Amino acid sequence: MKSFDKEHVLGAAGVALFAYGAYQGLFVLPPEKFMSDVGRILYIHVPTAWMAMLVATVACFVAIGSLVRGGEAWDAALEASVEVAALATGMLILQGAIWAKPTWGVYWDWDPRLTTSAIMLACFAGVLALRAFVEDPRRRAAWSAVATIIAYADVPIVYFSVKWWRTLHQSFSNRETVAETMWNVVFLNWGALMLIATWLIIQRARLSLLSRPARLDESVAPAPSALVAGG
Amino acid sequence: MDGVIQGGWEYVWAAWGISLSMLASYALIVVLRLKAARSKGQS
Amino acid sequence: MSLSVTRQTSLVLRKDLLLSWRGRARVVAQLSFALVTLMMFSFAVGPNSDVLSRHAGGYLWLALLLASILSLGESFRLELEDAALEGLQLLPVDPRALFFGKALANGIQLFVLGVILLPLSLVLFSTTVQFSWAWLLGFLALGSAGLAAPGTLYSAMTSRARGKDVMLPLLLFPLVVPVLLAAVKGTSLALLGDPMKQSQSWMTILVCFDLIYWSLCAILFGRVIDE
Repeated sequence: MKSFDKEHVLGAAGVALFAYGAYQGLFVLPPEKFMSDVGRILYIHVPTAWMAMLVATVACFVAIGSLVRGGEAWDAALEASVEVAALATGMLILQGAIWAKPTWGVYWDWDPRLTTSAIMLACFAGVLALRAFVEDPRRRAAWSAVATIIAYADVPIVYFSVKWWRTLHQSFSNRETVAETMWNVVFLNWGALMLIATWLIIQRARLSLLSRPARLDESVAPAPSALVAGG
Repeated sequence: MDGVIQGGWEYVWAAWGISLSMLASYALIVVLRLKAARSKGQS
Repeated sequence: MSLSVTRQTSLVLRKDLLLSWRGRARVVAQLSFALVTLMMFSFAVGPNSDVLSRHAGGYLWLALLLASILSLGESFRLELEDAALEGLQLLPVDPRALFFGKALANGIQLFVLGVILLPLSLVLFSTTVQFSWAWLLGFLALGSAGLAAPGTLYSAMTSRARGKDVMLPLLLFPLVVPVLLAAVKGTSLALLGDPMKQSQSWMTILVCFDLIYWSLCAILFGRVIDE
C-alpha cells in the first residue's frame, strides 16, 4: 500500500507558483529601466538569495537541535538542509556571475555578497565532505552539527570583512538599483522557492533516514522482514 | 556606466536555465534514490 | 577534588608547550617549510622588489596559514596514539580547559613562528617596518589566535577521521578568511604605513573574530571529543 508523501502538496504548490512567477517576470512585466531585459534575472536571483540564506539558517537551527536532542531524525534533517543550502548557494553564485557580465562587464568582481556566498558554499561543502569521511554515525552527527554552527556564525564576519576590504579599493554605488522592479513578483518567486526547498529538504531527509544501515534498536526505516533486519 | 543595456536575453536564459536545471536535477536524483531505497526496503 | 578551569587550562598549556619543546626538530621543519613557501612566492611573482614589498604582508600570512596545518595537524597526534584523549576525559578534565590549553599552545606556536619569519620576510621582500612594530606584533598575535581556535577544534575532528590531510585545510581555510583579510591588511599597513588610520578597523574585525570563535569553539569542543 503506497502512502502519499504529504510534502508533495508543498512541492506542487511551489512549482505552480514559480511557474506563474516566472511567466510574469520573464514575459509579462516590462523591461527594467537601466538593465532592460537583463534585469529579469533579478526575478530569480533575489528570491534565490533570500531562500539560500533562510535554508542556511534552518540548517544552523537543525544543527543546534541535533546537538541538544540527538537522534537520527535530526541528523537526517541536518544532512538534507545543508545539502539544499549548498545547492541554493551554488545557484546563487552562478546567477550572480551571469548577471554581472552584462551589467558590470566582468563575471566576478569580488562583490561582498557573492564573495561571502562563495565562502559559505566552501564551508558547507566542507561539512558535507566531513560527513563522507566520518564513519561512526553518532560522531558524524555531532561533528557535522558543530561544523555547521561554526560555518554559519562566520557568515556575518566574512561579509563585513570582505565589504571593508573592497571599499578600500573602489567605491561602488549600491549594486541592486532595482528601482522599477515589481517586488510582488520577487516575493512570489521567493515564496515559491521556499515551498520547493521545503519539499526538497523533507524528501532528502527521508532518503537520508532510509540510507542508514538497519539497526536493531532504532528502526526508523520501513521495517524489512524481521529475519533480514539486524545490525 | 549609466547607459541602457541592449537586449541581453541570452544572459536571462542562461541564468534561469542553469538555476532550474540544477534544481530539477537535484530533485530528480533525490526522488529516484528515494524510490530505490523504498523498494529495497520492501524486497 | 577538581581543579578550576583556569588551573586545568594552564596545566594543559604547560604540557603541550613542553611537548612542543621536546619535539622541536619538528618545529624547525615547520619553519623551513614556511621559509621555502616564502621563497616560492618570490619565484612565482618575480624579483620586482616594488611588487614584493607591497604584498609582503600577504605572502607572510599565506606562509603562516599553510605552515599552521602542520602544527595543528600534529596537536592531537600524541593524544591519539596513546589513547590519551580518553585518559584525559576520565580524569575528568573540563573540555573547555582542554580546548583553551591546546588552542593557546597552538596559538603561541604560530606566533613564535611568525616572529621568526618576520625578519626573514623583511629581507626577502625588501621592506622595512615603516609604521609600527606594536601594531605589527599585535596583528601577528591576534591573527595567530584567530587561526588557532578553529584550527584546534577542527584538528580534534580531522585527526580521527579519514582523509585528514585534506579535511583540515578544507574546513579551516574558508572559515578563517576574515582573519586572513584583517591580518594581511594590518600587517601591510604596519609595514608600509597607515596614513588613513585604518589599522584600528582591521584590528576590530580580528578581535571580534577571536572573541566569537574562542568562546564558540570552547563551548562546542566537548561534543567533538565526546565518545
